[in-house]
Formats: sequence, C-alpha cells, structure tokens
Amino acid sequence: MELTLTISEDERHACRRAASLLRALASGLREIGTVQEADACAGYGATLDRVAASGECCGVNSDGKVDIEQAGFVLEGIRDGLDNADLDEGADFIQRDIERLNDVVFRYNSDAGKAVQS
Amino acid sequence: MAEQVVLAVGDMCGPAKKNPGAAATADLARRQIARHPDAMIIALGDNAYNRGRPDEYRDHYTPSWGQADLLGRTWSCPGNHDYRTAGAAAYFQYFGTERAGTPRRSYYSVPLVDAGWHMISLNSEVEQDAHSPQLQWLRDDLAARRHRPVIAFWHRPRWGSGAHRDSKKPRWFWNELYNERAELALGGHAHHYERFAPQRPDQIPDSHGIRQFIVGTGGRRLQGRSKDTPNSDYARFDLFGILKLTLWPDGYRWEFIDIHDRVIDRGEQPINPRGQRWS
Repeated sequence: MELTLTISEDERHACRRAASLLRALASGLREIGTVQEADACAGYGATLDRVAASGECCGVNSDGKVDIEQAGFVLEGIRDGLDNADLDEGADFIQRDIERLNDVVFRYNSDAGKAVQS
Repeated sequence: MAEQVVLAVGDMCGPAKKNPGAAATADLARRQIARHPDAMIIALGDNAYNRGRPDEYRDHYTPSWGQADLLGRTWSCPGNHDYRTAGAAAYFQYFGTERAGTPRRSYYSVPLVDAGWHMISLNSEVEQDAHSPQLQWLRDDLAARRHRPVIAFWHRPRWGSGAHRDSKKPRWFWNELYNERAELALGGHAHHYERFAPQRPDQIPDSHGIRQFIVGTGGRRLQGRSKDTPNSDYARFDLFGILKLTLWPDGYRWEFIDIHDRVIDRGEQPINPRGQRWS
C-alpha cells in the first residue's frame, strides 16, 4: 500500500544520517563476505536515502515502511555497541535518529489503518 | 466479587526455527486454564511472525495459541510485526472487533466485572502523542472509570533492559495512566521477562506508581540483556513462559511461570489509593 506521508525536516535528517551508517555497514559486510546481509542493509539505506531526498511529502509503500523499521533495528545494534564501549555521545545521537525513524513508521501505520478501513 | 486470573504473553508464533517455544507456552496456558477455567488470555502483539499475514496466522498461530480453547478467551493488542501487513489488517480480522478493535480504532477497554478492575488495550504501533485520537480516547476512558484499578497493555514497553531497550513514545500512555493511578502496564516486543518496581513516568520510584512487566517470552527466540534499567527488580532472559496475574478488588498477585510449570517470580501488592488526582 503506497501512502503519501508528511516527513519533517528532522526526520529527513535522521534518514540521511541513518542511510550513511547503513551504507558503511553494507560495505563492511560485503568485504567480509556476508552478501545477503550487505544487500539488505544497502536496501534499507537506499529507502532512507529516497525519503531523505524527498520534500515534505514522500510516497512510502509497505516494503519501504518495513525497510525503515528494519533500519531502526540495525541502528539499535550500533547504538548498543557504542553504549557498551562507553561511547555515549554517539549512542545518544543514534538513539534520537531511531526515534525519528519510528515516528515515520507510526505515521505510516496510522494512515494505513485509516486506508484499509475506508 | 471474585478473583480474575489473567494470563499474559507476547511474541509467540512463527516458523519453528525462530519460534521454538510457541507450542510449549500454549500448552502451559492450557494447563493453567484447567486450574482456572475462567482465566483470560492477553496476547501482547507480534503473535504471528514475520509479517502478520493471514497465512502466518493460519499456519503458525492457529495450531497452538489459536485453538478454540485459547482463542475464545484471548484479548489482544497489535505488535510491529502485525503492522508489516498494511494496517495490520490480518491481525484485526483474526481476533475480531471485540477482541482487537479495528484498523482505524485499534484500542479498546473491557470491564473485569468479577475482580472490579478495568482492562485497557492500547496500540503502541500508531500515533499516540498528545493530540492523537488514541490519547484522547484513553483520557476519556480513564475518566469514566476513575475509581477502578487499571491494567493496561500494549506491545512496545516504555522501559526495558533487553533488546530494543526503552521506547520513548509510550510516555504519553504512562502520563495519562499515572495521573489516574493505574496499577499495571504490560508489554512484549523484547523477548525476555522483566518486572519493574512501581514508578512514576519520570522513573522516580513510587509505591503508588505503575508496575510494568515485559513478557515477550511466548515462543520467539529469546534475547539477552542489553543494559541495566532503573527500577528493574527482576529479569530473566533464558526462559519461555507466561505471566499469570490474579486480580481482586483490593490487590493483585503476579507469577511468572516457565514452560516446566515452575514459578520463577512471584509477588503481591495492594491496588493504589484513589480519591484524588496526582496532578
């Protein structure tokens, strides 16, 4: 289901930063031979890049929404790793981006609920 | 008035490789129901992995937790995996309007008449902030039942020491529930068991605050500790099991029971005093 969502400036910034991390992770995963995971992370990053490059309104479909949610889960792992290494500032920074990605996911779910029942 | 037994768990069913505990927790629920024929079940979301599709509910949920003896007494809330099908349409169709709400109005409440409690199902996977219809509904629902003890549940817990850690969004639920002196908040999402001491929305310990449980131990592969969270009194990351709550007008008792029928964690507490608002 394709929906047009309003994406705030903060959310676009969060998508841009998250996409950077996912691209880097995909590159590293490819280097160590985990191709499937590399492709998945690159795909999540590509979706986030597309949202980041959009204006205030962005078309998102079900798969794109899942990509955004999956990106958030991958970022949770990076956040936890930084936190465990006492690299708190980076962990906090990523946490804020995770929250913005979740905002987009929740907005999609709300609008999808209205759409399937209308 | 009598007691009401409530069995709560989330994150249950899916392909056996990644959901090895689903059949065992369903059997555990069945054994508890044999002892407590009027027990209710709360399904805390992510009931059918990985995308909450109709075929996943049919192939994974129905053979265990979806059998008539369990499904007929189940009340639910949706999880993030349920929303991987647009609008969580399959989830709502499976559980029906009375036990799940609708895609547009995905929250509801139920009076637990025998125990004198009020049960509220919320949706953490859609918008829930100050101006959302859901939060306005919650305010109205709580106001109409001001003097009853409250058990609320939604998928994504506010606090957590395991996977996913804390979730900031449900703070809106917490603020409203705390203002009305709710007793219990249940969640899943993270695949472990955790019990918190009663606390305020800002994590200040408060014996008259909300006690949160995480019960993501329904069958999905378990996950480990991620951090130490304030007010976390007990956590297990290595056991499938269900939370058994016994509610009565003046208090409640909890037991976390593993799939070998061992009571791993238990306790009892009176309900919160009422009669004036906190804030």
